[in-house]
Amino acid sequence: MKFNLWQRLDHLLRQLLPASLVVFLALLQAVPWHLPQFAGVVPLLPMIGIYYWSLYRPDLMMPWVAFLIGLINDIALGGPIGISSLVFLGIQGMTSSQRRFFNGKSFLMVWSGFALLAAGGVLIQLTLSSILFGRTPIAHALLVEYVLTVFCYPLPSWLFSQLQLSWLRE
Amino acid sequence: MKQHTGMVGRLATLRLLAQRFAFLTLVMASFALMLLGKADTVLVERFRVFVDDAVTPVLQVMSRPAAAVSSVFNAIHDLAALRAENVRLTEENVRLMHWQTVARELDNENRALRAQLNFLPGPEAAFITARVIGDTGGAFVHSMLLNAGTRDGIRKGQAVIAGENLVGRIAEVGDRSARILLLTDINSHIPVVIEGSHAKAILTGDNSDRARLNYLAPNSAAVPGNRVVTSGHGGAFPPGLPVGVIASAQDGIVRVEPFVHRYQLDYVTVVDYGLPGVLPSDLPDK
Repeated sequence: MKFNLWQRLDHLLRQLLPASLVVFLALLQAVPWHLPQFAGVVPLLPMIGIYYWSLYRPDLMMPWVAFLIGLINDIALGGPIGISSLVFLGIQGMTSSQRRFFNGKSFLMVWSGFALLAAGGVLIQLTLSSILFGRTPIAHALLVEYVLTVFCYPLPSWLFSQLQLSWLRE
Repeated sequence: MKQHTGMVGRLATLRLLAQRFAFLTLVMASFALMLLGKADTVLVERFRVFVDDAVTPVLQVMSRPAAAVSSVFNAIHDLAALRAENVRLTEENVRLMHWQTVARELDNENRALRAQLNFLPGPEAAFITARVIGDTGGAFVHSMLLNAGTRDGIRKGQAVIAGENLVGRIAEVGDRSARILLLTDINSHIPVVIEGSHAKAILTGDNSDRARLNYLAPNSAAVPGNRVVTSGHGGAFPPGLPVGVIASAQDGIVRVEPFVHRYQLDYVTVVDYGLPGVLPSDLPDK
């Protein structure tokens, strides 16, 4: 069976969907919301995307994709480069290797898995940036960010599953 | 047939090995990037600026709906606090009217004294006003992205103010984007003086909302409520730019609450005072 140009383009665009969604989340973090209550804290949204797609479509969230998204994330946030790349790679690697464990498990299980991995990711981030800065940044903002991220998880995850159902049927 | 399956198996093993190798290479690449970034190479900075320039148009579009959302939230918030705000403003207005009179008198006196001294005024500062399109909140970095760059005349090391108050300085500048390092960032060090006592110190951020006063002489009085302004030492900023007020002074740790809160910033002014900057890397790159 031969595909014409449009079909191939359509296929390519669908394949790019997960990565572009995570890049969108990374940029969303950098948008100024002007909310005094949330000044200085942002939920680490791209982590959710990396976790979700590594779990459900690891073929579309390859290690190099996670690496590149991490690079964009670090630059968009103005932080030291390479840290998010490493953290996202770690999440991608851990999740895609544990797919069999999560297979058929309840949403709560998957959510707890994310909470655990995100905690690891945040700790790595804190350690590495302390080493790079030579001083430890104030950690309580990071704690708020972590809690926000874990509580945010269901919404993007639900959106992703809807998009996956309508756009990425295997 | 058997030979065939053997080959497939070997191919699968090879592919798995290749995948593992690729993963490890990427992990090494991340560490290499961290080291390169730490070394502050020109290459890394060019790359960052390139990506910033690329995402600027996207962020510019995305920041519009965000601004609309926040204005709705703020409108609701303001409505609730309208009465109290009105009372506060009336009181403040009375106080400011008094200050205005004082300022006029001082201005007249100043002019008269300058005329007597044959005083040469400093060079006029040039202003560029730009919109904040990226507020990268977060525990690790306190920086902001502006929608103006070298083509608008922004140079590295220039001071960024909002109203009269210091916000930070330009840390990176691309063709159409620039990044401000806020004074609460962990990498920000600003020479300041405490108004009144003239005690000099360095204001250092630690990514919390209140920056710390370091290298303060032990016997100098740092009382909560005192204003802190730039000292002009090192040549990075002109002297006298308002920075913040001392919020707390406990156990030798003095913290300063900046006058400017990052969530309020919509437009900021980048000022070129014609100063050379504190480090060689801050020299305006022509």
